Amino acid sequence: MPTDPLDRPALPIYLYRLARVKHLTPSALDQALYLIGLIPNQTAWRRFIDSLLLLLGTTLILSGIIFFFAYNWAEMSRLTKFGLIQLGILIIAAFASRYGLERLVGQLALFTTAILVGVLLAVLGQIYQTGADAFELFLTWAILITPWVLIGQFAPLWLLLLSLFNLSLIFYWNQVIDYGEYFFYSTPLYLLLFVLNGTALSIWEYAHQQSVVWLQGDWLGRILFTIILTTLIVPTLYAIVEQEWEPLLRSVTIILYVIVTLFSLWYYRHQRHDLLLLAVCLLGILMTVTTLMGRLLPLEMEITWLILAAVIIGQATLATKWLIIVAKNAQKESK
Amino acid sequence: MVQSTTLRTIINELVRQNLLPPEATEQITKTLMIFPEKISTPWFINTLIGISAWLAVIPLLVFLFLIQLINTAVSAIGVGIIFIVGTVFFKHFYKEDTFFLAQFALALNLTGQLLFVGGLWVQTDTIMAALATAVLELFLFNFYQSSIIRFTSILIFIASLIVLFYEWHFYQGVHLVILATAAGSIWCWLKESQHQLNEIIVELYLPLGYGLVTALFLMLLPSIQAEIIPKMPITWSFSTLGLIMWLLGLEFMLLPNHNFFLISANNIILLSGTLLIGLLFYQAPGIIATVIVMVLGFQRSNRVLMGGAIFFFTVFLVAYYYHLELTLLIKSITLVSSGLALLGLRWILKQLPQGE
Repeated sequence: MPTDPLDRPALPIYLYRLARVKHLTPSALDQALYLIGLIPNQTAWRRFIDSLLLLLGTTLILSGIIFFFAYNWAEMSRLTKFGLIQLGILIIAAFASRYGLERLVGQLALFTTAILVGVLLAVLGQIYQTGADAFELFLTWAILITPWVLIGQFAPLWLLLLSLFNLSLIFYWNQVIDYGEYFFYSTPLYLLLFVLNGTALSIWEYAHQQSVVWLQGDWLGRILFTIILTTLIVPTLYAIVEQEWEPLLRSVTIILYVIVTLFSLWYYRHQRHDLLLLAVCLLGILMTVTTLMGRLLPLEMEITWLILAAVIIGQATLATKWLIIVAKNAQKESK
Repeated sequence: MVQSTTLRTIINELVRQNLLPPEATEQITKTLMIFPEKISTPWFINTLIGISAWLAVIPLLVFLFLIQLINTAVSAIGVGIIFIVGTVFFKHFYKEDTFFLAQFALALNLTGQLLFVGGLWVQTDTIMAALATAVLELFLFNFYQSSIIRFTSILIFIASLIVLFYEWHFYQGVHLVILATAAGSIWCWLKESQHQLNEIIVELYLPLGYGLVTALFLMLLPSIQAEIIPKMPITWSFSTLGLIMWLLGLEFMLLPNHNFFLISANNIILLSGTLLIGLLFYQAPGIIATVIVMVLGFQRSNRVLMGGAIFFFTVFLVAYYYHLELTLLIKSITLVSSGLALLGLRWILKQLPQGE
């Protein structure tokens, strides 16, 4: 903590405190909030309105185009259908090239083009009735857009690519490997999804550490981590509820879940501070431990339910306390 | 968003602008010396606490049911009142509470509310239960010192009002609640600076603000499709009209602060855009509500408000066009025209020099 309190960062909480003890008049407070950027200036407002109109306008036009196709679909010849979509891809890709991929407009255009590739493949499958499985559509889509994703330097594009790979894997498993089985109960599938998304997260973490500019936002890493944890928690909870510790893979998943959770608690506490992901880890632990307790204790006894309530509250208390201590320590370390 | 700078820089700038006397610096330093550095609890920690408390309610209820403490409506009401009153007193008088006791009190209070309202509903009727719930939530909002309880109190209070209107067959009354909730949200967030100056309101405005915004979005979800709530004919365009008025009012309040003069090209374009949006989405008040919250969120650099607004904006927009009872061709023309109109507005705005 700085020795001179005036060298503290100008946070709103200090300004509000000063105003509350009448050191700042309301107009001085507003001006101070304006200076620290809490209240946006005219430029920020113009940019906000500009982005809002751009996003909304583009979305409405694209949706309108899709509806137009849907209306005329039955009457259109094959050539027209393919021609229109390919023309759309060409025009929007040219638009992206014209405006450049370093601008949001160009990046959104490239994203739209990537979506249209999927539309094209769907139409191909519909017209020619190739009998191809759904996973082939998603996999082909992913492969075709990969070059654009690599040059795009746009995080949502990477998320689209990863989503397509995930869908390919799920459909492949459901339609080819474990045909007829409801994939929700398939532990090997969850492990494969863990490997796929875990690899993606590792790459993101590395790129984030290397200060790759377009990957500095935390949202992508948070989504990936939540997906990874889900792929481990679901089979773990299923194993606890069904009390099936065999086959071997399910046991491996549980051990993996424990290792990943412990590692994540260390990593997001000491290596790359992220309080939200620590909270996600702790929520997972709460769900798992509570489910385990509920399975081990005799539910027909009344006291069991009181114990369960106390366990939930106890875990939440410990989690909250720990998170607040971590946040305070992180704030001290950042000075 | 908030930029990184020190208090010294800000204070010096305020002195330079004659908003502070030069001798204020010394007094400010003394005040800050006795005011420790503080961090506010992030929203997701409060969310974790809230989710855990609600989860703990389920086994508590099962326990009470198994020991036959709440096997009748009257006993449920009695136990509920004991829990509620007991926890209110606990929070009020036991200042040195530990986290564990605070969490336990939270779970007990929520359990008590469920038992009280449920028991009353079984014992009497829906109207009585809704009235009692409304009074209970007002009481808890004022006297239970917990942001989570205050937040849920707002939601439950508004829900009880909706139930009352439904039972009284005054279906269009929902518009009054929607508009009042929107007005409350605007007051809460626009006047956030003023709320910070008041020792009482500073504790209340955050759960109130978030509660009102959440309630507003949830109330407008049924506008997605008329058949969601059967036998409740509501003319949603009434709410749209009211919300457009609120949005225009909000813009009138914000514009002069940023040198957008009332009679200027920028302003005319902005207000035209607002009216255009209102016209396009006259059957979708949810979209207008999300725009209001987005503006409030941006004005206060509040990412939670902005994130919530963007999420619900997407939901309302997709649902609106999906359920439009028009042919696909007309939908297509409507969408493309709307999109072009908005992009046209954007282009006009870009042509105008800044500061006009």
